[in-house]
Amino acid sequence: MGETEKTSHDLFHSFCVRPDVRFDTQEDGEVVILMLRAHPITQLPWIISGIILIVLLIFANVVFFGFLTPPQILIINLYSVIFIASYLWLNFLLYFFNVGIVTNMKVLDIDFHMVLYKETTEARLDRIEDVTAKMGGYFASIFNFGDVFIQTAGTEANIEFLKVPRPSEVVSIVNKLGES
Amino acid sequence: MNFTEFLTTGNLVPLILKPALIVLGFIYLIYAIAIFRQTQVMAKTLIVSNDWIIVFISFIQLVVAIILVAVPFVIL
Repeated sequence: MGETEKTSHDLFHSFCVRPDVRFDTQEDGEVVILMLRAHPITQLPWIISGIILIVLLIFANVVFFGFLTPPQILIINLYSVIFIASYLWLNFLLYFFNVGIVTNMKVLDIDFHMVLYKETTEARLDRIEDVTAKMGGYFASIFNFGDVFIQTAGTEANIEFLKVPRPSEVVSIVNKLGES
Repeated sequence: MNFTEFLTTGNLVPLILKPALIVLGFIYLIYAIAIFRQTQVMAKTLIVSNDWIIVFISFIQLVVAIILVAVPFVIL
């Protein structure tokens, strides 16, 4: 278990070993071994969209400058900047709080869909039957990210960690924790 | 800034802009309240060090939303 004994925060805190975090359903003596977020490269679409919106706003200012009065320009710019900032903030929140957690007792998947819907799925390590990693596509191969599927026994819900970094390593860690 | 001005100048912008911005401001205020409340829930679900910064930024968003509702009344 050498790979999970030392604290580390890799890839913009998307692959954290023994991080200093807690969660609301944490039990006494439960230690967070691994915390996963989506690989940072998968967040590029909303970051690029934000940059494009800023460029469009600058372009619109140049084109429509002569048609509007200064207060109108000020207000339209104010609303636009706030809209873009809100879009970026919302996406950051979704990135930051959608996590997968592996502890010494269980595996958790915390999901916030469009911020307003919260979904927490848990499975105890002794109920895990099968752990699978899937990688597909050029980007996933180049940047080493993929999906990890954790199947549980009986009627317990299965757990999915989507687009997480180093999926093979995650499988290895979960399997080792399950065996110990 | 009103219908009389539109009749005399033919300029639609002032007539449309103010009500549109007021409506937008209220919609944004509702959105900001939802985000602020949900950020608090998120911060309680996943407790990280310095998570007050995230809640504080969402609070700033809420304050900005309140200002946005007031701005069209003051400037336009």
